[in-house]
Amino acid sequence: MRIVAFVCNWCARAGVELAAYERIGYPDVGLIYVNCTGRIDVQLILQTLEKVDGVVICACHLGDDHYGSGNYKTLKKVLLTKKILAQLGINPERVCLEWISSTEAEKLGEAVKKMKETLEEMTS
Amino acid sequence: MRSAIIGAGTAGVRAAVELDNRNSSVLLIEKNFYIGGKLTELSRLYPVCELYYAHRFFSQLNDSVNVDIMTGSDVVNIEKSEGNTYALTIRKTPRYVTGNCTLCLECVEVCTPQAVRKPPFQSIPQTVYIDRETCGACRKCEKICPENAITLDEKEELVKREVEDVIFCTGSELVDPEKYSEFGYGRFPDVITSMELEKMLHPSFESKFVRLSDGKRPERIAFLQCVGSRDAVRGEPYCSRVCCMQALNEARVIKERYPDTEPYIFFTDLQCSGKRWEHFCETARGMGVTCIRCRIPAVYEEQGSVSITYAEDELVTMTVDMIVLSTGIVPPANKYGLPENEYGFPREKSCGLFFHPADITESVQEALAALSSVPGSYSSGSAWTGEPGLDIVLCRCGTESHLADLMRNRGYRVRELDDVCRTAQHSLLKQEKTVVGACALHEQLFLRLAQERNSFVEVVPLREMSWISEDGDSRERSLQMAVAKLERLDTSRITWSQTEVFPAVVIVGGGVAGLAAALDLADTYKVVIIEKSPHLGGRALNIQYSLDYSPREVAQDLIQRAEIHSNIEILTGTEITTLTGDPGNFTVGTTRQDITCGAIIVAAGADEFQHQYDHPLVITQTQLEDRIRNNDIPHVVVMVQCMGSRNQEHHWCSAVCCSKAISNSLTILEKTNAQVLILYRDMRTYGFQDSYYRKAREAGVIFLQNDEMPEIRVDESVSVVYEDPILHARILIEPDLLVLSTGIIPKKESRELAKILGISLDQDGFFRESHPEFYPTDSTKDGIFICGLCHSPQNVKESVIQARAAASRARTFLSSAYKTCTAITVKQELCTGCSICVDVCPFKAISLESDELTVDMSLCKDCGLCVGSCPTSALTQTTLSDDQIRGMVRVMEGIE
Repeated sequence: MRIVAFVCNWCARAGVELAAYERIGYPDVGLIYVNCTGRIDVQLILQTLEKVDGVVICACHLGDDHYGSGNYKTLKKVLLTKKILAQLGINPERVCLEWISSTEAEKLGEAVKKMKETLEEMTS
Repeated sequence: MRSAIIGAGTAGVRAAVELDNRNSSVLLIEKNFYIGGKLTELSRLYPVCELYYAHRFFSQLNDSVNVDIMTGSDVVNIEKSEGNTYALTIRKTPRYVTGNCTLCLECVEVCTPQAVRKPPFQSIPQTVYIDRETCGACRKCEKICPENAITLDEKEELVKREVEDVIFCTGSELVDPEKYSEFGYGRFPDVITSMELEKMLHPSFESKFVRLSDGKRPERIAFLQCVGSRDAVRGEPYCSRVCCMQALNEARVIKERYPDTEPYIFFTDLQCSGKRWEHFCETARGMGVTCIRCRIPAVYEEQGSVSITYAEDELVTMTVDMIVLSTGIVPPANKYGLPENEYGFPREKSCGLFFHPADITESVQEALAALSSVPGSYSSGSAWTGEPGLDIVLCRCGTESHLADLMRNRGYRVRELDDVCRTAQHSLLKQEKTVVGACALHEQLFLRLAQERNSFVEVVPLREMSWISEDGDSRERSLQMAVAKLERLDTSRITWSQTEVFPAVVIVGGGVAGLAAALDLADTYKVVIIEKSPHLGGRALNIQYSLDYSPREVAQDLIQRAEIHSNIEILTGTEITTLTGDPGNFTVGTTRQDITCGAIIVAAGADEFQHQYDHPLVITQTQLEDRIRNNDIPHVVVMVQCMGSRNQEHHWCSAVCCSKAISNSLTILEKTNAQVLILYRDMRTYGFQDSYYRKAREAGVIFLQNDEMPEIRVDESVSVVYEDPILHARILIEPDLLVLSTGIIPKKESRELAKILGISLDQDGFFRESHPEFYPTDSTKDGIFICGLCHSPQNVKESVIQARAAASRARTFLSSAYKTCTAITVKQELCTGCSICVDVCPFKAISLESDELTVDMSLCKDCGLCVGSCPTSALTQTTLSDDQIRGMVRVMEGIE
């Protein structure tokens, strides 16, 4: 299962790096760091899903956005993307959004693991 | 080294980073074996979490050429010599581990007494260290280390250093909860402290968020506030400032992660007077954190659970799964004999917890203020550009040997280094694009080198990745993704621009903040103060009384010093009309003349809330001062707090009104036999001001509390109806004088000023800082800084510190050429003029005029929200375009 994770460069990235430092780890995932998850739009998620099996978006908690309120926009876009996927006949669980703060090191791993399990169930 | 910073906690680290940015040499001395202090133990910051800055700061300091870091080091003696230098004698305790350590942690695993420890995440030095006292001297670690990095025969050293200036940031500790045996700490396992709870929420520590008695997840927890604080009998008489917010923060984090848990906070007064703290408190309470006003007297244990009793009309006994004691801050050990105040906190050259109970923002501001006169050494930037092409640099740590050959076989140029840590910095980057496969520790170094050379770098933390996966494929793939990202980076669309800075500063506002900032910069730079009114001094000039100082005297002293300073030009009766130019080279247009400057400090002040009562017996605290001076005080004086604050219209707390009411009350009672009643919601006499609250009570002031505002009736006579929460009775009070503690509100003109300068206001109308904790005085535009009341409600002393912090930031800004690169580019032919990007940009950096879309790089922070909202892909984020992302995704596509 090929999963790509878009991770924001601030809180979420600190959480992901902490996972490595504390040897908590995460399953195999392609990490793409963005300055703000608000950078990602619906088209980009859809284009990514054309190539891989699942997309995880890791953003800072609402209120903690380094630039102010970009993560609110991410929330709206992910909800919109899920609706579009459903209409296209694609399982909306192929996209998920996780709020990760600097010390929630286990969250990326858990999200990726859950998505892989869901995807495996889908295809079995 | 020019400066020494003793203590590398929040304040010390922030100070060192600032001096590094200013190219000023600094010796950072820390007694622990790693830097960061309490910052490395916190799981989340409030009001906005900026913990990620800690890691960036540590990484920057690690590779800085200006900063010399000594850990395991204790300054045992300081002598001031004739030449105005300080001679420091430093005792260096051996770490027993050299820089060869790769953090493989085999020694940690083999050490039974756990004497070998790894430092906190990203902290430096990033090697293990040995606590010799716990060590059993079995030497297993030495034998097992594959890098021969352990040197158990290292000896203690006494080192002497000479510096020109010293700042003390050694912090302070929290009260020992065992002093308060009634709370059962040490007797009941489920009674813990606030810092212990932080560690339970932080994955770097072993403890988890479970009851220590039976390992179950707590369902109901109670925070007990003011343990050790506000206690003149057994503890410290002052309020520890941060515990209320800390408890709200922890409760909110718990609610976020474990939604079924019920947190309760038992408080005396909710101290939420900082900027946006009131909003934070409202959010936390909205999430389900219950706050009950009661100072819990004791904790009991019954049948394996702990319980507390409190009164809310009747006695309630509540059984909880866990008790968290919000332990207060104790005075620090002042071993350098610095002059201290009556509470035992040093007064000179000290910042953060060493100076007073402080939160992160205040510690940072004090650290910056302490450095505001340290000169920067100007670096004019380089024009060196890397040769076009892509280089892969692989450090041997964490890299499999086959990776280099693999990439070479794919046609890439690869350089292998034995150790990035030991390679000369100038030889690290040679090409315009470099992918670095090394450890995460040096990321800031590579980013700095790339920025200096107009080049681009992508760091892949291969070493850290090797810790979590045996699978070499994922490391190879990460490297390939980084290569794909840089390969598709279109450097032709990126232009770098550099502005040499103009050594002058314009200060908007001639109140105490503006004057304090001016005086800190005027020795080096030409300073012009622009003041709208005919006189300097602002609001403080009209305030005579405060708790232990006179704002008027502070203002008068600053005015006098500013007026005689040859480098300060004062333009009163002058207003700003326009701003053109770039950061580093602004042209400020005023009603009088145009001024060229490199940086701007906004200290424009704020207004007082105007109450609508028109009656001679209804006055404000400021007007009360006049009556006090004229000895015109009647018998019954009633004060009502929070007028115009903490309500629907003005959500915030105005921070100064509680202490002002108490100050005026004490002055009244010194001079008369009046009866003073204060009707309040929370008595926010935070920090050392709290002693005056006690004095006021002892002097006979009556304090009447209710979360709701009292009813004020003004027609021919004046009366106040107060509902007592215990008696449930409504009480009619007919004062001889009604004093309204009116709050601080943003000036209406702030909006216009913000527009002229191009900086943002926050939702409350105060100027918005770019990062509340670590860059509290930076506005949303490069080169423009904010301080004083226009930033947030605060008292005169705090305004002065914040102003000096802003001046310090301005000084750093003026210490190097201002450089930007086009982070966002526009394809005008694709733009349909929908303007979604204009609205979406958090910094108003995008403007659409005459069919042309422009992005102002002095405002743009490269977040990419505009790119993510553009329906036609007219906007591109040059360092991470859609094309680059697609290239990285294709690497993932190719795997099975």
